[in-house]
Amino acid sequence: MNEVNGSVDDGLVVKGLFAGYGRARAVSDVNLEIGRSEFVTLLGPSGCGKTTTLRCVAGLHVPQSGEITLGGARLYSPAVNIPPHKRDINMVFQSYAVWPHMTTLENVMYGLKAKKMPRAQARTKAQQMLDLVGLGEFAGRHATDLSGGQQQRVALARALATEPSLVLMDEPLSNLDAQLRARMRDEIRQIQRRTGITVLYVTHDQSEALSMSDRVVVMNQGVIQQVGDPWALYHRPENAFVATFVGEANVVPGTVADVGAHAFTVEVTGLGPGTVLDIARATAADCPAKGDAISVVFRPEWVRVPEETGTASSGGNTFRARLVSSEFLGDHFERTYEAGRHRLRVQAVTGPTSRPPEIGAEQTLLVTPENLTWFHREDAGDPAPSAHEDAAGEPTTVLGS
Amino acid sequence: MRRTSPGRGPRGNRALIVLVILLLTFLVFLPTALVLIGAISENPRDPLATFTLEALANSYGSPQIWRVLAETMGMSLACGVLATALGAALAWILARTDVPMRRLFELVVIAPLFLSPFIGALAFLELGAPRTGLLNQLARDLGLPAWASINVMTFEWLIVILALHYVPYGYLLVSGSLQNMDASLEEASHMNGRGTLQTALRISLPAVRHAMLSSVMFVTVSATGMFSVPALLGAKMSFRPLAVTVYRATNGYPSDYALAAALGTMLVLLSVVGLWLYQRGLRQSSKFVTVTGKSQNRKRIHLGGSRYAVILLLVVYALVTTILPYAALSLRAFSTSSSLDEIRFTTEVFMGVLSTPELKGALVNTVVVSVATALAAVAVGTLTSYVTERVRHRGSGLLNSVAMAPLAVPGIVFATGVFALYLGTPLYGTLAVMVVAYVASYLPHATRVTGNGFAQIDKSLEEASRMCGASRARMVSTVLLPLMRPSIAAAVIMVFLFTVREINTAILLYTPDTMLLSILSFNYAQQASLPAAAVVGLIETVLMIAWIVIMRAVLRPGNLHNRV
Repeated sequence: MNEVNGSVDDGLVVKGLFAGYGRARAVSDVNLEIGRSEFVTLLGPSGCGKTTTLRCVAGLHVPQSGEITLGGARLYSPAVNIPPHKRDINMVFQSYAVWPHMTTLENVMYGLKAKKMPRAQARTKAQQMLDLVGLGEFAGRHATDLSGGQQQRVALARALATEPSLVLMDEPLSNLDAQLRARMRDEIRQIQRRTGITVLYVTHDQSEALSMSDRVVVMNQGVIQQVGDPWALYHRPENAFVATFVGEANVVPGTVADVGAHAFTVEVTGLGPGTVLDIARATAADCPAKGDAISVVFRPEWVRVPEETGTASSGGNTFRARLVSSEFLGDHFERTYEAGRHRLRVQAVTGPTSRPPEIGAEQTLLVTPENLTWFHREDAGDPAPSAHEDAAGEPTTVLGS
Repeated sequence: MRRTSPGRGPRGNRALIVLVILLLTFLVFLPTALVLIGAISENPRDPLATFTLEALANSYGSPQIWRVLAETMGMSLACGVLATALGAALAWILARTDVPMRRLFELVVIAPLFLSPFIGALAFLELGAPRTGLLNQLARDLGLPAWASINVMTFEWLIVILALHYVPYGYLLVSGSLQNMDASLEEASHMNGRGTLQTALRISLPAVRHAMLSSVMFVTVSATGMFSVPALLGAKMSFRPLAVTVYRATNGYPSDYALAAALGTMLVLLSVVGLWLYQRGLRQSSKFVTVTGKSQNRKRIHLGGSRYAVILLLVVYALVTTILPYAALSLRAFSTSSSLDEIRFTTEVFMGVLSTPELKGALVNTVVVSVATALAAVAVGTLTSYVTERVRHRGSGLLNSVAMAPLAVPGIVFATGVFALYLGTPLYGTLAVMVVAYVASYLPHATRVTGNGFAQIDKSLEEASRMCGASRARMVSTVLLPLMRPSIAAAVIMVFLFTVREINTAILLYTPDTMLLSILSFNYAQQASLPAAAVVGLIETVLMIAWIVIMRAVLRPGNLHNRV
C-alpha cells in the first residue's frame, strides 16, 4: 500500500519527522513519500498534526527532528534548514491570505516579481493564471472586493503562478459554503490534472479527501494511521480509527474460529451468544490464522433487514437485533440496533410494501460474507482472556460523519 | 531532541532580539535603574559612589509626604473618574445615537488633545482667575451676583481642568470598546423588552466596564506625574502634588536629587499599581470584542426631542474645552490688554514674541526634537512589537513589559534617571538627550499602537508572501509595512503631539541652547509674561495640526482598504 506513483526522487520525501510546540508534541515519526503530479491528502481530526506536518514542509514551522527533501534537494535536516521562500513550494491558506492592499492581478504577480520575472511577462503569466481559475475579468479589482469563493481562486492562481514543484493546501475549502465547496473541489482537481502539479492537501473532511486524492494519509494524534488510495481506505481500514473516521462503521471484536478455502469464520460473542460471522477470503488481502483476535468491520449501508426487503437470508450472516431508534430519510432509514453488547448503525433501504417496525421490535439483520472486512485487533499481541473480555465489553465505536 | 529554534532566519532573529534588548536597556532600563539608585545615592554626579538612606527616610519617613501622597492620589483619582465618566457618556452618544453632525462632534470631543495641558490651564487662568479673569469681568459687566464669579486657582477647579484635558483619552478608550462590541448583544436586550436606558445600563455599561477601568487608571497615573498644571494653578494653594514636590526638589536651591529620586520611587510605586489595573482592564475588555470584523449596520437610537439637549451638551463641551480657551489665548496674543473694556486688536504682541531669537530657536528645536522623537519612538516601538508579536522568542514577553515600563515612571522622575545617566557625557545638554528621554517616555504608546496593528494582521498574509518566494526583507517591505501603514501613521502622529506638549521630562533636561516651545511657555508663565506664553501655546497647536496634515498626506492612512 506504500507504492509510489512515479519516481520518489522527483517528489517530496519526509523521513522521521517529529514536531511540536514547546513541550507539546504535535507530530511523531511521520514518514511520507509523494510522487510527481500526485495529489496526496493528509486527513484527520483537528489537532491530529496534519497542519503542523504541512507547515514543516512549507518551512513555516521548524521540526524537532527528521528530514525533508523535495526533488532530491534537502529542505530540512538537523544540519540544513532552507528558508520558506527558497523551497520551490507554494501554499494555499485556509484564510485565503489574499493581500488587501493589492489588486487581484498584483496578488498573482507577486511571486513572479519575487522571482525577478520581467514585469510584462509576469503580467501576462498572472493574467493566464486568473483566466485558468475563471477570474480573468477581475484582474483590476481589489482582492478584498471579491467573494470568499473568488478570493480562494485568487489564492489558488497565486500559488500556481510561480510553478512550484509542490503546492500545499491547508483546508482551502473549509470557509466556503457546501455548494461552493463541492464546485471548488471539482475545479481544484481538474486544474491539478491539467497542470500536473504535485499537491499536498490537508483537510478534516473525509468526503473531500476521498473524492479528490490519489492517496490519503490518515493521521491521528500526530501519528500516521494508514496510507492508501481512497478505495482501500474505505474498504480495507487497518484499525478502528481509520474504519470509523473514514465513513461510518460498526467495529465488532471477535476471534477466528475456523479458516476455510473461501471464507473464514469469526466468533463474535459480543453480538449475542454463539453468533458467528463468515467473512469471504477473497476480499481480504491476507487471511488471519485460527485463534487470531480480529475486529470485524461492516458499514451501515452493508447491512440488510430481510423481513422488510423480502430478500432471502440464506447464504449470509444473520443475527437478531432489537431496534432502538429509527429515522426516516426518504430513501432509507438511519437506524440504531442493539445486538448483544453492541449498538449498531444501520442504513436500511426498504421498499414501499412493508410498514416500518415498532421501536423495540426484534429483527434479523443480514450481512453477506462479501460485505465484511476486518483488521487485526490492536491489543492482539495480548490474547489473554481478560483482555479479550474487556475489548468485547466495550461499546462499539461509531464515529464518522 | 529540542534545539533552540533554528530556521526562520535564525541569525536575523537573534540579531533583531539583541538589537531590541540593547535599545530597551539604554532607553528604558538604565535610566529607570538610576532613578532607583539615585534615591539611595549621596552624589548625583556619581550615583554609584556612596550610598545613604537619608533621602528615603526623609520621604517614606515623613508624615507630611504621606499626606501629600494621599492628596495627590485623591486628585488624580478624582480626575480619572471625572474624565472617564464624561468621556464614556460622550462615547455612548456618538457611537449609539443618531445625533446630527456626528463627524464634526467626534472632532470636537478629541480637540483638547491639540492643546497642551499647561497652555490649557493658562487659558483657564485667563478665563477664571479671581477678579481679573475674563469670565469674571463679563459677569461683573453683566451685573451678575458675586457667587457667579469663579476662581480656578482652587483644588476643585484644578481637578476639573485636568479632567477636561483627559476627556479625549476616556472617550477614545471607551468608544473603541463600544464600537467593537457585538451589536447583537444590545439587540437581544431590546428583543427581551428592555428600553434604551435599561439596555445602556445593563448591557453596554458592563461591556465597557473594563475599558472604563483602564481609562480611569491611565488618566490617574498620567495625572499623578503631571507637574506643570498644578504648579501653575496651585501656586497659591497649600496643596502641592507629589510631582510638584519632586520639581521643587530638583529646581530649588540647593537641589536635592536624592529626595527627588526617593519621592520619584513613591510615584513609581503608585503608578505600578494603577497600571497593573489598567493592563488587567484592557485584557478583560477584549472578551466582548467581536473578531468577525463584519461591518454591522447598527441601528442608531433615535434621540427625538432630547436631541437638542444632547447638542447643547456637546456645544457647551466645545465651548469650555476649546472655544473659550482659544478665545482667551487669542485675546492675550492679539490684544494689548486683557481687560474686556480696553480690547484693541493688534498683531504687535504676536509679532513681538515671534521676533525674539529665543522663540525661533525654540521653534526649530521643538520641530527637530518632535520629528526625531516621533520617528525614532515609532521605529523602536515597531521593532519591539514585531519581536513580541511575530518572533515570539522566549522572553519576548519580558521585552514587552520593559517597553511598557515608562508608563509607570512619571516624566519628571524618569528625567532624573536620564539626567544621571548622561551627566558628564558629551550628550548632556544636547537635543539628542531629550530625544532619548522622549523616545523612552512614548515607547509604550508607540509599542501598543503598532502592536495592535500587528495583532490585526493575519499571520498567513505574511506566510503567503514567503511561500511566493519573497525573502523576509521583501515580505516586510511589500506586505507587512504597507498593511501596517495606518497603525504607523497613528503612532507617528500621536507621539509627535505628545512631544510638542511635553514639559514634565524636558524641564529637567533643557539648557538655554536646547530651549523648547513648551519650556518657553512655562518660563514665560513663571515670569508672568502671559501674552508671550499664549502666543507660544498657539504656535504649538499650529505645529500639531500641520504635522497631522503632512502625515496624512504622506502616509495616507485612510487610503488602505480597511478590511485587513
